[in-house]
Amino acid sequence: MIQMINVSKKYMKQSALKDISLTLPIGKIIGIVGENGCGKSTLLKLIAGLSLPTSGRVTVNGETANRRICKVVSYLSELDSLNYIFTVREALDFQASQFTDFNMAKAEEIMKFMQLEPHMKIKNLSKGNLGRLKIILTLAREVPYILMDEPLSGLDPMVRESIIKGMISYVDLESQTLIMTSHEITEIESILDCFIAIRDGSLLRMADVEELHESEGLGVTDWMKKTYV
Amino acid sequence: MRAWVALLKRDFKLTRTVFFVGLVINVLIAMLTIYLGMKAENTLLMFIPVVAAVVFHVFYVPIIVFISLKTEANQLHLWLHNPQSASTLLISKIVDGLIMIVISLLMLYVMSGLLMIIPKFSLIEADWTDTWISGLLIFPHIILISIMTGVLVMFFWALYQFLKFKIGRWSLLVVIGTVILSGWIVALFESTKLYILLTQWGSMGINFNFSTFSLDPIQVYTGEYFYNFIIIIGLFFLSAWIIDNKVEV
Amino acid sequence: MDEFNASKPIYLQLADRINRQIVSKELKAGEKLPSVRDMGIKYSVNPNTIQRTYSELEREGILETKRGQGTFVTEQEDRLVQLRDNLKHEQILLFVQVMQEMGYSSLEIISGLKDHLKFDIGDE
Repeated sequence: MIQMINVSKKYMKQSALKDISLTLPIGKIIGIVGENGCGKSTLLKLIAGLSLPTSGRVTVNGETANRRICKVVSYLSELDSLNYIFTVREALDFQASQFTDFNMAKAEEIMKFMQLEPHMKIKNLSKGNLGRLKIILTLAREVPYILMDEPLSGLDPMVRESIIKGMISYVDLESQTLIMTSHEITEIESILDCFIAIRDGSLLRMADVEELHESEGLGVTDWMKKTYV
Repeated sequence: MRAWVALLKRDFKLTRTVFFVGLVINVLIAMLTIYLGMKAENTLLMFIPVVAAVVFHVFYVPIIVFISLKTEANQLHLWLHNPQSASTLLISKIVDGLIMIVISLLMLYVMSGLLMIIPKFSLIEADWTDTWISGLLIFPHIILISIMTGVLVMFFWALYQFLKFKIGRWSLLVVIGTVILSGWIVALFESTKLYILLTQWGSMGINFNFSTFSLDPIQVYTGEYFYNFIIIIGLFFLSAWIIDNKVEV
Repeated sequence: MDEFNASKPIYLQLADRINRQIVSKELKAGEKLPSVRDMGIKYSVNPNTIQRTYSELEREGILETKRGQGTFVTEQEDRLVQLRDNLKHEQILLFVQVMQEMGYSSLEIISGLKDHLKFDIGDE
């Protein structure tokens, strides 16, 4: 279980998140939505322990999140940087050497599924292939929590589709939770269990997507259009 | 162990360009030595480039550490998103530098040794053993100073990474200020009685007294080594602590 | 194909699709359905949602889950006949509602249908 209790985050004087409290269980695909710069990425970084709260507390499985929490959290950054010195194969091997939970067989399978060539040098990869590789490195870990920051952004529809299908295929919802931020809400909406809407650093709403369909007859995209004006 | 070896391999890859360029420079220096040996009369003069190269090795580990950490800074989330402790991550960088400096110094040593013993060159008369022994004394000190400086680089790098999100664009100035200020404080401290009390014990003299050349014995203290050792270990773990607990992306 | 209507829960829309496939014999009685995950991949839908669809249809007696084997279309003939009837009524209801709203009389509707389907009740 991921728990945030009255979490605020400031960068110098600028407030990024304000008084967020929420609990995220295992077995869900959760989307974090909101405008650019509203604090979505910060929220993920706080859970990954790569950012530290100015006040409040973030715990993952009862442990305060710092950078070592990565033993139970797999994090994909929105940045495109990877270990450029590696080939795809070397990057997988390195990941496997650092994380004992990295499932190489699963990685191979996803690699085949996404049609990525293992001998390619990372610095020569196209943006689409880089996106695929990042997904493989993150998804092949058998950890309770997988966090992905903008996994679809800047990729063409074909790649986005294969990534979304990859998420459904390789996230084990019996034992894992996937939390992601995305601009392309329409595209991920059908795979979400619930969504967290953030506005100006505050938690606006957290609800089941189906509940929204049922109670308000709206999809997340429409709800956002209505709410964020 | 597998994790650590993989880290070391990765660090080697990050810094290998400098390493190989260094080895090429070593070869150039050996060639320069041969050239000087053929031109100059004084056989000691020809070894000046080699000596300069050896002395410059004090910058070896700090340069390696800096290049390595600079790469990490560009993709800090990748480096920090790793289950190993920061000290493990940092040790790998030090060992990477250590391996490189040892290989580079050994290469210089062997090359200059060859220049001396290969009769064709007959550049220096006898007593290559003298040089051998002085090398044994000088090289470990070069390596030690280099590692110490490397740890200092780590510390200031960690400090900079910590300050970056706290005070923003002034952090580089603050770090530079800290470097100057701490240098001044250390210099001040080392002239106090307390420092002398702390360090001047376990006296030993290092003698350079050979048939080919001789120097006055250099007075050193076990206490001095011990003092520096403690400082460096302290700074190392402080850097690791900052990285584990204070650095953010 | 993959588009869902936002005004209705996805799990119910999926249930409708499966029902139609059963009625149209695309899915036959006793046929095994894809696993929750495969179905999720097929429609790009969260496996939890698929699970909910399967559970709902199971509750209605249209699907049956056999432990360790998977989910199957029921072989209860009467239940399938009933489903076939239900869907027919649903569609007719919708159609008639729209026609009546536009002011067509029952006779007009019937003759229109007959014309469209090119069949004459008298010939039967």
